[in-house]
Amino acid sequence: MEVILNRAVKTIDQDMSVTQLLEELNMKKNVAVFIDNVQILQKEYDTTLLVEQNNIRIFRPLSGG
Amino acid sequence: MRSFPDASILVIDLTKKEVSKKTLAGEIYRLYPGGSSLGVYLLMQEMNPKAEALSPDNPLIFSVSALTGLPMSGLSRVVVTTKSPLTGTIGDSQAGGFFPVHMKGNGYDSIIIKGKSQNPVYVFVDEDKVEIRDAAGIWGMVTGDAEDAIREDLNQDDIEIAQIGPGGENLVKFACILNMCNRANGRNGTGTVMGYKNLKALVVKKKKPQQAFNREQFKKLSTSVKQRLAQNESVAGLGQYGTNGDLEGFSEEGFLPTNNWTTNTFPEGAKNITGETMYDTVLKDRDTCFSCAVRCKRVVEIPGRVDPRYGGPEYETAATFGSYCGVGDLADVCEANQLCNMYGLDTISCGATIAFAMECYEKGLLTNEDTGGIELTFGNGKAMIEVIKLIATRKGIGKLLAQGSKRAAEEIGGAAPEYFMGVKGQEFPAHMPQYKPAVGMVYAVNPFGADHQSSEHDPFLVMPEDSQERINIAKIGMIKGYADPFVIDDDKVRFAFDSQCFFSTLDTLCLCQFVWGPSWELFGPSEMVELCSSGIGWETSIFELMRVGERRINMMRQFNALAGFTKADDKLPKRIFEPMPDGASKGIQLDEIKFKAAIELYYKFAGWDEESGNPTEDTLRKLSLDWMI
Repeated sequence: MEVILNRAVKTIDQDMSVTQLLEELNMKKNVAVFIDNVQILQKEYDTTLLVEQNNIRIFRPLSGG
Repeated sequence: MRSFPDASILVIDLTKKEVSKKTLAGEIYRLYPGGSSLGVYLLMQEMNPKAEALSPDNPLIFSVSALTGLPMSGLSRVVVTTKSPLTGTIGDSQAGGFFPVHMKGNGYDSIIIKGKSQNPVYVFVDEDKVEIRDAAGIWGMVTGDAEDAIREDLNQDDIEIAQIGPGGENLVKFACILNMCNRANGRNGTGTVMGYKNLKALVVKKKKPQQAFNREQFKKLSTSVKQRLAQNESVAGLGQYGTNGDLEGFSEEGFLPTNNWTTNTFPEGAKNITGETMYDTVLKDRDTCFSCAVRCKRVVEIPGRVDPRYGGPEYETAATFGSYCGVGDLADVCEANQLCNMYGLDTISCGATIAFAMECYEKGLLTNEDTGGIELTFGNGKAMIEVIKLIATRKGIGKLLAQGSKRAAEEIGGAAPEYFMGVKGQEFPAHMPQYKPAVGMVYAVNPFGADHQSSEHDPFLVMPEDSQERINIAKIGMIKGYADPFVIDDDKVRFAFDSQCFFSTLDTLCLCQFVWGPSWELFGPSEMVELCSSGIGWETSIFELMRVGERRINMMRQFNALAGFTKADDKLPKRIFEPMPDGASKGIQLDEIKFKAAIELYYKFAGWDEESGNPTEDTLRKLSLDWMI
């Protein structure tokens, strides 16, 4: 199915969770995830399943040092 | 519980060649319990803030804290306090390694260096035995050679050395002090003051570190590090890729300062100089500080070119010698880092000053005649490396640039002052206020110039409410989250001020900000209270600790006020308020009117006078600083 990820179209598997999407993107869980402008709690990353045309924004807090 | 310990202070007068000791009673030490708080307190007893930075009247003060050397991660930091020759304000810089632990192990919370030696010397401290030794034979040596020579001179290996390189000896305005040849008290030109005093090194004999007051309770905290590291992806990432793990991300998001902040993304070079690339190519080892499990320090090697003795680049260094200068060659960046550690130069100010010079050259304000034929264009890594050496030795164009980019800009004239990217004379670290407006506010108001490690960073407020970051930040009163980091509102100003107070506490207690902090770090506000209780029997609270931090900031601000600084000095360069020119953040703009209003609100939150921007008498009294009135 297709979703919008950070303003670009992306094809992902059906019934993919947020956690699985992060793993596919090689990202860790210390990111913020918004689906259709609603922020998802971290404890819900495993159980929130993505659906067709979800508008997903993943924000990675960049710190440097 | 026990009474707060007294502070033991060693005083070394280089003019008179005299050594003495004094004590600060525990009930006073508790108000200024170490680090730069103790440093500023002692500085104010010793000098008039109007004195010249490069004068015998400006002391150089090394301070640790009541907690330093307890055996767990993040407790080995030393702060150097002095009047900064780069900014003219109070000067402050921190370093890690093993020197802090052994300074404390010798029984000293603070070492005050006064006056000026007639000839080059170094000081050796072995508890009550303090020697001022001739350094004529090592003056002029780079740090690695000097370290070897000192060990040979003392015939000892079990020592730790805090030293300057030729940069400090030659009074480069952003010279630093290094221990282990790669742990820098970097910013503000503290090494310049040391060089002015003809002091090559402060050497301490290795001693046993202190043990915890309540060992059982302390052990629960110290042994939790392993589990916390396993669960904390941010800190674990530091161990893997170092602080430079985010550089490519900054460029992709469009917030990487590039070509002297004229642009904001570096697609042609970012990937080459990021932490992951270092890990895959030149990384030889991950080093650490006393008792620390994080192992964030990089050690790189390029045979025949870069010696692992000099460590490896952090994010700031990779940015300032990388994207700031348009250089996308990792070997050039690593060599630049090495040269700074050999010669004793702050990598942020050095890289930023060369980037400034590159912009001047590209725009015709500096010519081949000025540079001695060096083509100082963005992207010319070889030129960048050549100029570092010229700065350290004050030769050719280095003589101009050794003053720092603000003074260099004033001397060049024309449009050059517009190309200085910093505050109060100190060049910006690589965090853009357009992305992190609270950091930008602190850049503006921070007493010792633009500094990225004086407050928490805005992006962590975007994390989910149930994340460790947000749970911890809520403990210091910041409950609101944001969908984007760019917002400026009242809560953001409160966040800037309150997190600044918290970080000020960290720099007072000499805690490493990668282990201890208000959000993403291994240990948060609650654990700091536990640390004080179990570590030294200090029954404290977040309230008292935040007050300690606020007190430090106000002491520094009042020092500056007495030195002649006002809110007129709290300004960001015009370029910061222009729309982002390129990349994913193109068009995003920091609203200048909103920003200035935020700064005015900050003064109110801080209890500072609206006209001068300086602490009011009431605020000083509130913080037990009536002696500064």
